[in-house]
Order: sequence, then structure tokens, then C-alpha cells
Amino acid sequence: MENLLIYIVGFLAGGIAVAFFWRERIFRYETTARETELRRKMYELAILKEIGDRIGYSLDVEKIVDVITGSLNQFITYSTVSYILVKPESFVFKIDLEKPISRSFVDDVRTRMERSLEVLLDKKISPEEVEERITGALLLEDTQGVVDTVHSFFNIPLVIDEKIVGLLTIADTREGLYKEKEMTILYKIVAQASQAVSKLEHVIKIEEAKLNAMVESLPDGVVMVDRDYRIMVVNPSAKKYLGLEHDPDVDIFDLIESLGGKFDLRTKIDECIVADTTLLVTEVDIGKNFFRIFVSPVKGESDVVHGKVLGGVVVLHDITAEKEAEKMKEDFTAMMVHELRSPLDGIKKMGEMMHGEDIRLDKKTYDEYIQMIYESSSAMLELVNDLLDVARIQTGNFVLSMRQVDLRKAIAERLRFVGYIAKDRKIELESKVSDAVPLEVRCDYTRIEQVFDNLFSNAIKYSNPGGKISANVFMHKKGELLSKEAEKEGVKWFVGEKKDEEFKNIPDCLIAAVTDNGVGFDETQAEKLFVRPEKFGVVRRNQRGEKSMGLGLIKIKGIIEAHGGIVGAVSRVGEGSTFYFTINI
Amino acid sequence: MEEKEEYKRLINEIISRQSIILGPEIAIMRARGVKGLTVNETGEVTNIEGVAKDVLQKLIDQYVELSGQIVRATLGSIFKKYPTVEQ
Repeated sequence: MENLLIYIVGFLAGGIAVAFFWRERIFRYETTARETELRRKMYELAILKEIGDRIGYSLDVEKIVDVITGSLNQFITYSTVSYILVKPESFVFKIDLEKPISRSFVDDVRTRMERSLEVLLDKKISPEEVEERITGALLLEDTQGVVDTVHSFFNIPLVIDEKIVGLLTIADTREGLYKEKEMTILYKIVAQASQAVSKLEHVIKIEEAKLNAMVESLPDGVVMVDRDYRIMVVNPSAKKYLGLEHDPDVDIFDLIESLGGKFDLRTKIDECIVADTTLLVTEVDIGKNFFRIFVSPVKGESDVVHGKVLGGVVVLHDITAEKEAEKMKEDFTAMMVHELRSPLDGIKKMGEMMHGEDIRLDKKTYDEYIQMIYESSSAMLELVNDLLDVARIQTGNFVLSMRQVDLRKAIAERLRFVGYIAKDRKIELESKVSDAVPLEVRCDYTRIEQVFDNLFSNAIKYSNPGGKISANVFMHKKGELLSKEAEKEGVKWFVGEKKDEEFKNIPDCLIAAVTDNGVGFDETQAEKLFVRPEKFGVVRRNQRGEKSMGLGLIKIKGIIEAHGGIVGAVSRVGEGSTFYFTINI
Repeated sequence: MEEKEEYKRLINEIISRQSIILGPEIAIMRARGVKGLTVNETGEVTNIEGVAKDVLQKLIDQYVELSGQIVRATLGSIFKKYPTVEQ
């Protein structure tokens, strides 16, 4: 009985001890597992932080992958770590050997990676497209008797902004080496780096869009190429200048073809990169336009590419307008020399002749010479004044001196002024001012006189002997038909109903018109008569060969527009013409 | 029964493709971690328990967790072969 009791107590004590032992064991196991898990998480965080710090704000995928692969041996063992990067037209395969390894191992890793990438990219990769780089420990040739085999490996796709940019691979000669947890950490690290780069790329894309919008709206043509002459930027102005507006994918060959051998794009880009300076080509004619072309190297400013030449930029600055202005200046100088030289030469010659005793005694001839000198110098002065007025009009420095003017009196005076020439040419002059026209009209008296002088003198110039010139002034009311208003006033002109629509919306005003029955002009050219000619010089000759430089009508337009009015002309070739203007009341 | 067999074939193809992309070790490990899916050491599906559609979704989620949404793009051509299977 006593033994039984001892046995039971012993059994119970043993049981309790075993229970305590197991409980202790389970507790220790759980604690160790928790500690291991905690250590793993801490380690994972430390690794992620370190890699994050080293990557910084880099967008260079190669650098990022190098940072990741360089940190791996701290927590995972492997024979090789390798990556393939997808470049625009090739692939880079880089493998770092942690220990001496055989060539066949490297080839096997590369083949497995290429197969993986082919599935990811859904395209074949040919060996020629892949550039191989081997770093780290010794690469053993298979002929040395060592043939290592890949027994453990896993690939991590490198994805940025939902695009495959490469593949990272860990491989080892030992079988079943990698546990799921270890591998998962690596996937996490790569995913985090990819996420950071994707976010940064998104920000950059927004900034890039802003910059692109600016470049797109530039009036200068801008073309940027990289070191391999791939077009990085070609703005709409450049496309327009080069006749490539309808080409969505412009490449370097399109540009070379459009330039038609007039500008050696590739050579100039190479030259500016080598010389590290901006090259200027002063004048190149492309199509109908002239360009000043700047070619500059494009250098990186960021930490990653600081100072590195990324390509070249070509700026096409259209200088066609400048060239035209230059040409006009030359024409103008030539015209001035010609127009002033002839009368000056005449004056000089007459002056020389007037020195002679005989001439001085012949009063009639002497007076004729004096009159000729006066007429020649007056013509020159008129020309110079016209030129100055046109220059003032075009530069906006034309100032009016407004006052109340008796228009009837002004017209009568100007008709008297040109009356002698008209009489000499047997041309009849007449005028009619409507009773509705106010007694006084607010305008610049001198300038309106000049307008009438020019219109009368033109009408005389283009009229034949026996012709007739009429000056009419009448009122226009907004909304009324001009043809009816003219008919009511008995105006005989060439305008007819042609301007009815235009005048319907013109506010109440006074209309002055000078009509002749001379040679007339091609009405399609009417608009051009009042604008600066494309080149200076004689723009029109009359039936007697007398020339006109077209300055008078430009001046008339300037004066009338300064008054707030409009000018116009209507004609029938061989029948005559009407020139009219309005003055607001 | 026929439907389950179709899912089996589809899942086999997915595991096989992911084995090429990610490597067989991780691809099979992940597949074996899917509840309701029995996969042998060579990566072949031996049994599907429960709703096959849910099992398939869980398997895809396993791979998406590893390499992101790009996985779905790589599976497109496989799904085309199984028009009756809902993605």
C-alpha cells in the first residue's frame, strides 16, 4: 500500500514535471519563433531603408538594380546575382559572381532569364541583341573540368509604371536553398523600389508635359536628338518649317530629307558636341523661308547625368521677314538714289548752263530754266515728304491736328490748285457737295488737303485728254444702302451696289469720292493699291509712261484711318475708276 | 466534374508559365500555399477542393502579390484558350 502510494505520488510528480517541461518547451519555442519573426521584420525594414537611402531620387534603373544587388549578400546566400535590362533597341545582361563559377552556369542562368523575359515581353530575344557583362569572382571555363549546375533560382520582374524594364535573378548551385520568406523579402524590396521610381516618373511626366507644352507653342522650330540621333523632341513649328506637319513619327532621315542637303544636321550636331559649344549657321534657305540655325549640345544637370552630353538641340529661327526688310531697305536706297539723282542731275546741269552769258541775256530761256529747277526741286521735296509721312504712318507716329474745316471751301481750293494741270491736259473738273453735308467738318485740314491733292493728281495722271473728273461729297446713314444714297445725290461713280453690304454696318459718316473716266485698273488689285508694295520702286505707269511709286495711296489710307474712316477703290478697266473715303461725323 | 478538369488544366498552365517567369521553386511554393489547391512537387495540380473559381482567383492573387498587376497581362493568352472560365 505504502509502495503504491509512493508510486502514485512519483507518477504524479513525474507527470507534473513532464507537463512543466513541455509547457516550458512550447513557451520557449513560441518565444524563439516570435523573436525570429521580429528580427526578420526588423532586418527587412533595415534593408529596405538602406536601399531606399542609397537609391535616393534616382530614376536610373541600372543604378537602382545595382544598389539592390549590392545589398543582397547581407541576408541571402547565392552563387550569382544577375539582371537583364530592357534598352530601347537591345538588352543588357549583367551577372555578378559571388564565388568562382563555371561558364555553363552563367549560360544557364542567362537562358532561363531570357526565356522569362520573352514571356513577359511577348517577343523573341536573339543572342545578338544582348550585351553581356560579368563581374565579381572568377569565371571558370568548362574546359577546366568544372561544370556547375543551377539548382536553385528565382526571378523578380522589374516593373516601372506598369512596364517591364528588366528581370533580376538569384541563383545557386545548391538545391532547395531558398525559403519562401527570404524570396518574399526580395520581391518586396524590388516592388518598393519600383513603386518609388514609378511615382517619381509620374511627377517628372507632369513636369515634362508642362515643358513640352511650352516647346510646342514656340514660334521657333526645335528639334532635339539623343546621342544615337533618335528624335526626342520635334515641335510643330519645326515640322511646319520642314514640311512634315502630317508626319506623326518624324525620324532623323525625314529631317535630313527635308533639309535637302542644305544643312548637314548630323555633322553639325557632332561638331557642336565635340567643340562643346553652340554653333550658329547664319542663313539657310529651306523651302520658301530663310533660317538662322543654332545647334547646341544638351547636357545633363541632375546628379546622375551631370555634365554628360545627352544629345543635341537644333533651333530654327525664321528670318524671312528680316531678310525681306533688308531687301526692302536695299530697294528703297536704290530707288531713292535713282529718283533723286535724275532731278538733281538736271538741276546741276541747268545751274551750269545758267552761268553762261548768253542764257542770262535770253530772259525767256532763263525763266524757263528757273521754272524747271523749281518744278524738279518741288517734285523731290514732295517725294521726300511722302516718304516721311508713310514712315510716320507705319511707325504709328502720325499725329493729326483736328479742327473745324469748311470742306466745300477746301475742295474748291484744291480743284483750283490742280486746275492748271487739268486745263493743260484738257481734262474737265467738277465737284458737288450735298446740301446734307455740314458746313464744317472736324478733321485735319492740311492732311485732308493732301488726300484731295493726291486723288485729283492721280485722276489727272490716269485720264486721257477730253476726260472728266468729278468730286462728290454726300452723307451716309448706318443701315442704308450706299447705292441708293449715291443715286439720290446724283453721283455717277463705279461703286454701284458693290459696297452696299459693307456700308450697311458703317456708322453715319461723310463720303467723299473722286471719279475719273480714265484708263482704270484691274479691280482685283484694289486692296493692294493702299498697302506697302512688296518692293519699293515704280509700281504703276500711266498711258503716257508717267510713273507712280504708290506712296500717295498708302499715305491717303494712313490719313483717313487716323481720322477713323475707311478708303476704297472700284474700277472698270478702260472706263475709269472711283476712289472714295469716309470721315466720321 | 468537367468544369473542375478545365480549371485544373488552366491552373496547370498558369503555374507552368509562372515557373518560367519567376522560377519553378517560388511558383510552386506559392501555388502550394493556396487553400483548396493541391500541387505536387513538380508543380502539377492533383486536386481542387471547394469552388474552383475561388481557388483560381487565390492563385492569381498569390502571383500578383509577388510581381504586381503585370502578372494578369502575362496570363491573357492562357485565358483565351478557356473562354468559359471567368477571369
